[in-house]
Amino acid sequence: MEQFFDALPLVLGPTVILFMLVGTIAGIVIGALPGLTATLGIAVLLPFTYGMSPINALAVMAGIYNGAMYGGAIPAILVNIPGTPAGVATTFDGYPMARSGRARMALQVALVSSTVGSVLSALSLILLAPVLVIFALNFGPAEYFWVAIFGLASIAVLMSGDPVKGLIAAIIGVLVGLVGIDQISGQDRLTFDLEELTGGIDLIILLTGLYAVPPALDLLIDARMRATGGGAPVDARAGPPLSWSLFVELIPTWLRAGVMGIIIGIIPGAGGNLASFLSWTQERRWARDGSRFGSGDPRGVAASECGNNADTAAAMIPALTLGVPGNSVAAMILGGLLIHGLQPGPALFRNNPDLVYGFMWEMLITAPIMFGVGIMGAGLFARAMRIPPALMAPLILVVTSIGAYAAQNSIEDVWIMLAFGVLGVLLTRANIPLAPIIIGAILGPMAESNFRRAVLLMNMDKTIFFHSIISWVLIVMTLAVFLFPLWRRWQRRKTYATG
Amino acid sequence: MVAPVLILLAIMSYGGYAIAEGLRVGGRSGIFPLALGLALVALTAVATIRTLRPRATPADSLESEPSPDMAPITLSWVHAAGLALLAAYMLAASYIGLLSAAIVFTPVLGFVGAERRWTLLAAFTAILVLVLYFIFSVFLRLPLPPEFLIG
Repeated sequence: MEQFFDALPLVLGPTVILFMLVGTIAGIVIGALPGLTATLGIAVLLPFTYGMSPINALAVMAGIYNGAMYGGAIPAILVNIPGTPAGVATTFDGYPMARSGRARMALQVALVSSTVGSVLSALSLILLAPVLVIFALNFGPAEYFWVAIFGLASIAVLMSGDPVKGLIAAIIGVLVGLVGIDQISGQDRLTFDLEELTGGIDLIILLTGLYAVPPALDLLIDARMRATGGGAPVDARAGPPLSWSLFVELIPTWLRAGVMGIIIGIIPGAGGNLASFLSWTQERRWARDGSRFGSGDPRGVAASECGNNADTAAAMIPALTLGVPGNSVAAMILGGLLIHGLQPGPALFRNNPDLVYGFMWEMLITAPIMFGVGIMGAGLFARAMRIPPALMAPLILVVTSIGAYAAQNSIEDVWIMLAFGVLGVLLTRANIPLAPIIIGAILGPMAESNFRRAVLLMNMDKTIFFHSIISWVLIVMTLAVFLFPLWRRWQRRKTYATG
Repeated sequence: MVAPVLILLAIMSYGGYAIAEGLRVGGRSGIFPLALGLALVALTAVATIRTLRPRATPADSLESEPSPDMAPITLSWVHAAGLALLAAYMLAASYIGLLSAAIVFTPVLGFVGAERRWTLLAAFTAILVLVLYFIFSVFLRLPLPPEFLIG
């Protein structure tokens, strides 16, 4: 804990606080704009972090991450359109509250719940990550190989509704991660004989192409749909504020949803949308008068918003300690670390404690910053929804192109970004999820290098992969991940058969 | 149904390319591309068959849920036009600069997004280009390609 407190002065500097503030405001605006997500925000920003110091870059990312989760609640409550996928469950009770003249209360419940969720999540990161990293010291190459396989499998299977398509995406990602000159044999692999690809594919270019181009094009469609009609938002200042009695009443909800969000955040592949849904569902089950859920119950908003924000920092626990990101935003932040030459794992905690604990502080500090910004400007952020999406699309694409160029001063990178943008559009058309591609590109090379290292260490003895208990636990967990969809299918069939 | 099948077949051919690369490289460097290529071909074959096969029971139809990380999307002329314009923008940017090319790209893409208020498009384009110029060229001093009109 000494190192943790030593990192505090680093993040209390005016520059870092300014970056956290800017990131949080940007995150709330991004979240408040339907179609824009925290992933997109970080994807657009990531190329520019090359020139920043890592702690400043992480400050912006922490702000965007927390801010976007709350920002998604604003349109969910006011116009029944979730700003981010994680805000879907907020519409269930948030919009009915707004329609019944309690928009102000709903927005304040969402803000306080998001803040509580973010604080709980950051505390879980602070408490659990150092414990897990000590445990990770027992890991050798074979164990890291299985960690990568487990991470890939869980993200491919759990993050996608269709495990087959999730696995297809993960394999594409691993193959993209292998493009370029093989460091051991010195041979080109998977480069299509293109000289531009011999150095490998820059993670930033992959991230921006997949996560910025398709949503920007979707905004054009959104714009065309809005041009043919659309409802007016409810006044954000309407109705009574959040009362003290309601605040006290919501504390148990926040605790339950917070724990749920943290657990889901730690599981690779689950994500904020699942945290939000499950928190809402469990709270409804828990409540004695659960029938009020879905018709404007503040506990529904509290559970959903606390759950999705509790997922944020928790998703960084496996990312920072084992290199396995819990969700696509965690993968982005992990990418941000990698481009600064920072490899996650015990070495990161040993060699850069100021950075890793500084990031934990940033995840914690951006929560009250988000509260302060939100309390001052919920109505203001609601106006962000008025920005025509037709103008947002070129803004994103121009900034993304500049970022892709600036990453390595290469126009070829901008073309590669476009190629991944086309890939992203096409894969989404075939219902193939994009997140496993990113995770695959990060974990694939990790799996391969550890596989080779393990084989070399044991003089080609491949039984090394089954020597330790940790390996066996990871193998069993991987098998469980693959069996989960079969179990779910069997359950559904049984339910269907029994009528 | 045709578009998803074509996309899956394209991915399958990429799997075939990975197999060929694995065999070409050989040795330890070829293990991963070969194994992953084989897995990709097998999985895309399964996905293609499932796409072509009609659902047997309502329970089956529940198997495939939309991925939570994906926004609902349809491939339309808007996507195609957007990508074509982006390609044209990049081509132009390599000759006249990213910001100069944005002067044409921004209003045209806005027009594709059904924005018909020309004064708004013009004002937004001017503000966007100037703001980006000051942020990236003046403040951050990023080495951008030579600009035809700005800088």
